[in-house]
Amino acid sequence: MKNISLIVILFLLINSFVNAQSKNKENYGKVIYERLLNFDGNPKSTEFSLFFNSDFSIFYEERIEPKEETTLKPSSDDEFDLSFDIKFNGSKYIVLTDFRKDTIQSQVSLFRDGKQKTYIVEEKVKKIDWSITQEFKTISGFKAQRAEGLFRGRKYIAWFTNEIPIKYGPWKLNDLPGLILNVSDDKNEVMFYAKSIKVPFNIKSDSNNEFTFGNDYDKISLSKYLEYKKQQVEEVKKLFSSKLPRGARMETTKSKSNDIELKYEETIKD
Amino acid sequence: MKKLTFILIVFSFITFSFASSNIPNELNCSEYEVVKTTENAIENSENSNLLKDCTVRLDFTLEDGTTIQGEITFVDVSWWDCTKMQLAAWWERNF
Repeated sequence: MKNISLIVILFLLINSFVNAQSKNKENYGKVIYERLLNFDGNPKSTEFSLFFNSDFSIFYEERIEPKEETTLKPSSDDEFDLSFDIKFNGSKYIVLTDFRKDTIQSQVSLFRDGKQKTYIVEEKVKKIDWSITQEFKTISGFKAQRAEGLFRGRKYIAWFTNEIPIKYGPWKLNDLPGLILNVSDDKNEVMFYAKSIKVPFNIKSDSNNEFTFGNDYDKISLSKYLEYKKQQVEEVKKLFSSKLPRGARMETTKSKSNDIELKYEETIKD
Repeated sequence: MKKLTFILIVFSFITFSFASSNIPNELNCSEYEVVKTTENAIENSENSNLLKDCTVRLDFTLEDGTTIQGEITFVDVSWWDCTKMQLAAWWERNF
């Protein structure tokens, strides 16, 4: 039960927001999105929930990933192969957007100093300059309108609906005149689809609203997070170095990554 | 009729048991791999004094969706040293 001491319970969080917004119950809701990432032809699907009121949105992973698997591959004639699939256990990816302060706090885990470590990554909201077109289609009974926008190295095509006139969408994609129902990049590597929409949403009707957002995790800037992320392979290399026999040496380190965010604005630098 | 049913059940049991013991299907694939790995381990341990390259392949899946593939090659290590590193990493639950 690590990092439990300062837990923010979503239920309480949302309740406090709801109380503050009690005069306008239309301002909060819950949307369940499916995120589909398709890097290198290997699609991975994850379900997320989006809670929101007029000031905040909280986008979080519905299910925690299972514990990582460690496998030993049979050796070849020339070398001994070891293979590790590293996944992080026991924490959820959470993106909390504060529209009053224009800030985003993301809870993410990394491999650091020989173990899993969870951080709160702080960044400013990056406004997307959406271009709204006059193309329409019906999605799940809603009249949806097409918009295009660039966000951190990807061109996104979003379908939003004016029938739910709120500016929210999945992950960090916001600021259209209506709720984003579907959004994908032009390479079809990153996709979000709304699976369920409850607006307005009665928080008390849903018992599955509790999760931890650990305020006792170290807060780091986005640039620091990116720096740590680049060092993931090096971190494991350091760990293995300590296990190496005398005389053995490391010759090569190759690293390749697939990211949702490809380019960052200059302003994220400390 | 009862005898016929009994014979059919026994025949089916023998047939399926025999079939599954000979075909390495997907269900017993991991067991098959364990056997192969053990065989390799025995074979390699016989040559444990030989120094070879030990390649560690890493596949990270971060919660934000990022995937990272890495490869580290340790040069001139014995099979046993390579295996020890794997066992140590697993035992200490570092990953």
